[in-house]
Amino acid sequence: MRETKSIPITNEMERLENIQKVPAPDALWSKVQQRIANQAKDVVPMHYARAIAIAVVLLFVANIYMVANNNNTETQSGLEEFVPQTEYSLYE
Amino acid sequence: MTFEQSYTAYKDLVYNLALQYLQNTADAEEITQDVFLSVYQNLSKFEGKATLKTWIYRITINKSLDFIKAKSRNKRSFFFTSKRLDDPDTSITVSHFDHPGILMEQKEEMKSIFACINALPERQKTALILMKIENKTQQEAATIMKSTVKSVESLYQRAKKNLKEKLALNEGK
Repeated sequence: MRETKSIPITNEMERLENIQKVPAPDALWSKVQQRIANQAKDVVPMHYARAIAIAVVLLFVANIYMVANNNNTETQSGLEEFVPQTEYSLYE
Repeated sequence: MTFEQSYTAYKDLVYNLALQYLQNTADAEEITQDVFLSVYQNLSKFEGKATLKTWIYRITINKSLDFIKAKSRNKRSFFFTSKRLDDPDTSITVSHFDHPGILMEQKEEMKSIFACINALPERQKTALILMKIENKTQQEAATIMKSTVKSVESLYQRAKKNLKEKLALNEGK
């Protein structure tokens, strides 16, 4: 009869219970503070964001205004005027 | 509680919990920084539905699991492998074993035990770490995992069974 190998699971579980708790390194606090400071630096202030948004909107409105007031529409200056085409049959 | 007070109160908890997931001091330090950065950003939004300690436990667990996932993704894309993310064999992606809470003479043995723990599904791993290593009660583990006592107990039993199988498989190799 084949002998089954006993697995010392209880032993392994006991070892897990005996893992020691270690203190966090002291240098961590300054690293956390540094990251907070860096992050604050990276954030764009709200008044900057508002100013940029207003500038973009103004540009857009000015663009529409310019297009609407440009009455020199030369719609007749298409290519057809230069090369009048009367024959449309292609393969003769 | 101010941010500094919460850091002082929970830094060791966060660092040690991250160590149980990652078994590497540099990674655990990175997770600790990430956790407290997140706490700093969201402390004002903290609604107090759970205790601050439970909330910090949850953040640490999520950050650690995300870190492991990101690492395994990077590793896979580096080697152009096509293994699935949820493939348990691919979840063993911790950095070199460097757990200061483990005695030197037990290091090799614990390394293989942790390799098996790392291969467990996420929730089973969390139940095992909380109840066996962090010595939490079923009720505490259930609160942290936003689950029921019954479900946590089931996860823990499955984790133990799977761990036993994986250890047997390792011994057979």
